[in-house]
Formats: sequence, C-alpha cells, structure tokens
Amino acid sequence: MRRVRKTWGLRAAAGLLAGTTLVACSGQGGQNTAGPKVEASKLVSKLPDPKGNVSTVKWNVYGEPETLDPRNAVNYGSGQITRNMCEGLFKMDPEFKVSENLASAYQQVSPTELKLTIRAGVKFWDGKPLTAEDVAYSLKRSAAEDSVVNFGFIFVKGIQATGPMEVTLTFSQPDANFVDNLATLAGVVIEKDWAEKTGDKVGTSTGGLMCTGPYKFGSWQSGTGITIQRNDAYWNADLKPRAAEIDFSFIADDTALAQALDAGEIDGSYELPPSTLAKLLKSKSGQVVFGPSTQSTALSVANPGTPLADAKLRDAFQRSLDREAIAKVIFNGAAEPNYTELTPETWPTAERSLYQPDYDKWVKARSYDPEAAKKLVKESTYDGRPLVLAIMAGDETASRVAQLVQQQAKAIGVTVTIQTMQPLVYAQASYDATKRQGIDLLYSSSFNSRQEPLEPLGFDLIPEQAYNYTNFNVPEVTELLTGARSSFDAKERAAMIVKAQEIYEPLNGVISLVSNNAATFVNNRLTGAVTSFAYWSMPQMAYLGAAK
Amino acid sequence: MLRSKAGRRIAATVSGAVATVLVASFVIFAGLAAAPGDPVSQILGPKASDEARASMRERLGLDAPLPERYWSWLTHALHGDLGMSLTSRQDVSSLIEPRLLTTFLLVAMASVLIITVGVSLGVFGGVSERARGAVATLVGLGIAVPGFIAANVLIGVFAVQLGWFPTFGGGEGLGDRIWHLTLPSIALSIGYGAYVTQLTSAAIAEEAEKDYVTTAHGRGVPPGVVLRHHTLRNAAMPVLTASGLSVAGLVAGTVVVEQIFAVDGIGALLIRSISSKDYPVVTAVSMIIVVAFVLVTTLIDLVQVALDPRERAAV
Repeated sequence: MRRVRKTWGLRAAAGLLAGTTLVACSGQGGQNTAGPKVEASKLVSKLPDPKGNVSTVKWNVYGEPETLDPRNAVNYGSGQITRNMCEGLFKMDPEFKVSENLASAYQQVSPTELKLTIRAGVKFWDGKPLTAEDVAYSLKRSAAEDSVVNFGFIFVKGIQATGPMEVTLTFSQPDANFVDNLATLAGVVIEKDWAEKTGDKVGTSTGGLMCTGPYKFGSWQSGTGITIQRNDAYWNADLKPRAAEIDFSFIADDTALAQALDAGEIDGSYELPPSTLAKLLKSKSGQVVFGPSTQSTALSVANPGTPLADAKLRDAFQRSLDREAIAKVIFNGAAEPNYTELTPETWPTAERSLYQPDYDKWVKARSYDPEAAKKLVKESTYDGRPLVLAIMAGDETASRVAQLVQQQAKAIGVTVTIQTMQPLVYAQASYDATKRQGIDLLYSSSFNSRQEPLEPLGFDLIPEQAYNYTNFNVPEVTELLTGARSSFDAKERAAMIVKAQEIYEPLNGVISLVSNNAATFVNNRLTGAVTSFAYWSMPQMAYLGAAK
Repeated sequence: MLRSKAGRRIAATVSGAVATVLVASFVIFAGLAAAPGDPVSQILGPKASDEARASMRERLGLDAPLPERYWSWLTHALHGDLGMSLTSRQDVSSLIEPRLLTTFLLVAMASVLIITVGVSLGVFGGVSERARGAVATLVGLGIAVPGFIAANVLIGVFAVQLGWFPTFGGGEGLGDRIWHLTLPSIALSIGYGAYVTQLTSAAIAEEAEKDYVTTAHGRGVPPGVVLRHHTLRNAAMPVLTASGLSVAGLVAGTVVVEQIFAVDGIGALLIRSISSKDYPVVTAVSMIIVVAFVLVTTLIDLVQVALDPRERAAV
C-alpha cells in the first residue's frame, strides 16, 4: 500500500489546534531498571527473546482504527492490530523473508496456474477447522471491488476450492509477485460461515473477527481501546505468545503520546512521530529502537509539463538537497538519506548485491553540491517562476521538510512556495489529476508492505497507472517491468529492474529524500519486540514478553 | 390562547429554539457537502479504480442531490435513526453513546468549577476593593493564556512531574473517570471561568455603588445583609447569563481539550469525522452540540422570564 498516512485528520487537527508544545521537563515515572538497551545508531529488526510471561501489555496505535476487516485494514494501526488475530496463507519474518503459513505448500503448476495446499489441523477460535472453502472465500473477498487490497489480484482470473484442502488460482498473465503478496493483508484468511453471517459488520466493534491467529478478538470499546486475548489453542507450537492480553489505546496527539510512554502508562508504540523522539530518546522508562523499513519520503513531480520536465532542473534539485541534514534534523535519526526512487530496504535481501552498484552511482551523482546545482539551474530553461510544493495540512514533519527544501532551493536560485491541502483533498490528489492542477511537486510518503521493487515502480512508471503523474511512458522500461513481474527467477528479475532503473532514473519525476526507519518505543520491562517494518505484516505482539 | 406576556414570550423562545436547531442542521449538512474532499477516497484507499469509487458512492447514497439527502437524513433522525457511519460501518449511535458520557462529565466538572470558583472570585473582587487588583490580574491571565498552553503546563506539572494524575485517557467507571478528567476540566474552565469572574466582579461593583446600597449602609444595615439582600440579588441576572453562556460554550471547547489529553469524547470524534467527511457522524455530533447550546440558552431565557417581575405582569 502506498501513501497511506498515519497522519490522518486527527493528527492534522491536533497540529492545528494544539501546536506541539513539548513540556520541558523530564519524566519521573516508569521503572528505572536498565533493560537490554540497543544502540540507537544501528538498525535492529528484533529485540532479544523474552525471559518470561506478562499478563498485560498496553500498546498505542495512532488514532482509532476505522475497521479491522483484514482486506481494508491498511492503515498503520488497523493493520498492526488485525495481524495479531488474522493470519495469511504465507507469513513474514522480521527480516521480511516470506514462508508458508496457512498454506503448507504451493505449486506453480504453470506460469498461469497456482495450487495452494491448505495446512491441516488449523482451527478457528470457535473450534471449526480451516478448509479450502474458507481460503477461497477469503481470497475472493480480498479481490472484490470494495476491497482496498484488490490491486494485488489484477492478473487473477479464477479462484476455486479444487479439493477439501486445495485451492487453485488461474491467471490472465504470469504474476511472480503473487505468492509473496499472500503474506500481506491480501492473503489473510477469515472464517467463511461466520463472515457470511456477520455481513457488513466484519471487523467492526460490534461484529469483531473470526480468524486462526495467536490472539483472539476480545473487545472494542469505541473511543477507548481494543483488547485482544491470547488464543491458547493456537496451532503453531513454534510461536507461544508471552502476553496474555494486549490493550491497545488510540492516542493521536504527539505530546500526549510521548508523555504517556515516558511515564510508563503505556508500554510501547510503533511509528513514533519524529517530534516525540527528542524526549523519548532520553527516557529512563524505555528505549527507542530504529529498525529497517520499506517506507520512504520523496517529492514527486505532480504534472506533465511543469518546469521540472527539464532534466537539468531536476538534476539541480537533486544536488541542492542536503539529505543528511533532512534525515538528522527533521527525522531525528529515524531516516537515512536516499538517492533513488527505490530505497535499499526495498531490494529483496537475497539480491542486494545486484542492486548496490547502480545505486552507488546515483549516490555519487546526486550528492549535496550547491555549487554544481547552481550551475545546472543556469544551464536549464528555468525562468524564475515559483514552483508549488503541496503538503498535507497538519502534517508537521512534511511542513518542516518542505521548509528545508524551500531554503535549499533558494540557495541555488529556485523559488519554491509551499501549499497546504486539506487531508482529504491531499489524499485525493494522489490519484486524481484534477486535484493536482497548479501543483509542481507533491510531498509523498510511500508505504511498501514488503521488499518488492515492482510494487512502487509498477504504479509510478507504467502508462495509465494511478501514480504516473508525469505521463511517463518509455516502452523499454514498461517491457522490463512487466517482464520482471512475469519472471519467476529472482536473479533475472533483479537484473531487469536494475536495467530499467538505469533508464528511468534520469528521466522520471520522483526526487527521493529519505528512506524512513521504523521507530519503536518499548518499555524496559519488555523485550522480544519485532522492530523492523515487517511488524506490520506479522503477529508482532506474540513476540513480546518479560525482559527478566 | 396564551393569557400573559410571559406565556407568549415562553412560546416564542421555544419555537425559536426549534427553528435554530433545524436551520443549523441544514447549514452543517450543506457546509460539509461544500467542503472539499471525497469520503470514498478514505474508504477505498488510493488504489481503487474509478468504477469501484462510483459504485461505492452509489451504495452510500452520496450521488443523490443534496436536498434529497438532507430530507432523508432528517426524516430518519426524527425517528431516532441517526444512520450509519460511512467510514467505520457502525451505527452512529453506537459511536456516540460511549463518548457522550465522557464529554458530558467533562463539561459538568468544568461547569461546577466555573460557577463555584468563577462566581466566588468575582464576588470577592467586586466587594473587596483591596482584592480587586489581584482578581483582575488573575482574570487577565486566564483570558490571555490559550487553553492548550494551560493544558500542557497542567500535564507537565501534575501528571508527568508529580505523577498525581494520568497523562491521557478518559478512564473507566465513575471514580476513575473523575480522576482522569480532573486536569482536562481545569484546562477547559480557565478561559470561561475568567470571563465569569470578570462579569461578576463588574456587576457586583456596579450594584455596590448604587444609591439604595449606599442608603442601606447609611441606615446601619449590616454589610452582610446588604450584600445578600440587595447587591447579589440584583447582580444575579448578568452573572447567571454569563455562566449559562459559558457552559454552552464549553461544549464546543471540549474539542481542543479532548485532543490534548487524548480523551476520546465527542469532540475528538467530531474532528476525526470532519476530516474524513463522514456525513452521518458529523451531522449527529454537531446536532448534539447545537441542541445542548440551544437548550442552555433557552433555559437562561426562561429563568430570566421567571426572575423579572416586569415579565410576570398579567396583561
């Protein structure tokens, strides 16, 4: 999923109404025992295994989820909570590695036919066994028109239970991404009978859920919190949750969140807003952990025919940006400088070495050099007209990044004006060209759920796709990317994507800024937490337990 | 047939209140429709196809013309059916009910603070010339300091440093709720409390200088009796009006305070629903705020009728 923000309206309103006055005093609450601290300077995917059980963990998500229906739970909070209860056919580990889960095996019968074997002995919370019927039903639900994750099913032609424990999928064209995608929300299984009975209320506070995961739906007090309870009959003996109950709260105010974590009233939170880091990095009650993440922040050229259509001006922009400063000053260390549209964390781990050399070239070519940038502006067709950079109202981080970009552009003789858009309009602008009229650059956060370069590239560079704002259309790139999506050989895929990257990077309209790290706070009494962004596609709470 | 001036005035007040609520509901409905943004983008996410968006709009009835949608909302609302939230697919009433109690308690606690602390400080400042300066300084502070600054200071001192109160949330059960809402209600009452103090103090000071009070003092009536029987009774009307208006305004003031203290009441729900253009929720919550406001102001009107001897005269 891309451009789904945690900064929904609530936060916008909070920013507008409450400002972000951090109270200048250090926390006195919480325990003062030194837990196993990790270096904040290095990225960690998981904390050491816990030593014991805990009865309750209090965890915060940013704002109350609208739904826990797996196929629509695509926001940070809703997805995180749902994944503790509802499992996918495949699963992810903290290093983003995908393996079998509710599907015990799969067979690519032909490039356009996939057979899934359903794991035997798995039971839903109500004791009913998992069958191929439930799987076929859930996949059809994910592919349906009113499902937010249906884009993963564009090549799927048919979904059928072809045996009591076998589901067969047929494709209109080969899709090498499909199996891995079943580790995301798109491949989550819910109970068919229950879902048909529950209808529109699936994933609501009154309807709840019926899945197979390590935690059961407990209660959802609208406006207060969501409680999930350990499922003692969980099928997977390798994963024994240590916490009997998790209470999720919905604080959506940066200051209130930082205070509650520092005081030890809440044990932890993922996706810490950058403004809370200064306080929390000094906290005595817990630790901030930075982990690898497939999220990134960029400026996208918003329309064809802007002054930025000139490659010289784009190159000037690339060289005018001090990405190190942006990562340090604004993100407080929760981000790394990033130089291409793909971030290194988006490359599949096994093929990293194939991507690295070309990336290093861009790091050099786009390093911070205001003098070179000034020269490029002079050589370009830029006539001094102000460039409009759009951000979402109330997104404090975006506002600070935009101001820094504005300053750095000014230093090379380019005028940037910042335009704020109402949250809902900003969301619409990401797919509706009429809402991007008069805008030259759009601040955007991308959100990849797995290490799959084709996920963002397919949307940005293939003609007629939702995020192809500049009408980018280079047949060779299209061919390489569609070819890669149809190739089942990982090395060949990587080679094709790198080849495409060599062609599109000089031409396309994405000016990357930083690769974001996952930023997590964990109270000293706990450990075991998954701290890479893979937490979002795992039953992450099942790994937490007592530090001593 | 209404026999008295007072009766006619009561009828006019009540019908005015009903008209206000109706007009407000339409303005809110239309205003939201005029605001930019499409709720469907929130529901289906950024990757949905245009066809999917169109069919979702149809399913939610968003494609009907505005008057038709308003009429349908109104007729359902009059039958007690507030509809279904667009984004969370829950009944609006089930979203509002648990939050209503929280917000009501917050407003009630702040009202008690405003009326007890605000009025007594005002009386004190109005009667005692020596205290007047100190009270005026407090009032100035109370009016000048924005609510969210006061809120952050309160959290910093009493919740984080001293640890006497929780830093966030609305609590469960009555005792716990009151404990959770103490700081928010103080933050909420400061501004309005200062306003009530100022008005009370001015009203008392003004009464105290009138001839009949001076005469009473001259006749040797004890000061306490003069204060109770004359000054306070005559200053009651403006004080009552100011207090009532403050309480009515509190309902809207909760929006900011709930945000800072992460108390999920109807104020926080309203902000979230506006940003996702969740028509049924926004309209319902706004109506609760409007009705509360109109009820309180109508009540003040009626009390004024009851207290004013000129209004009671039969025609």
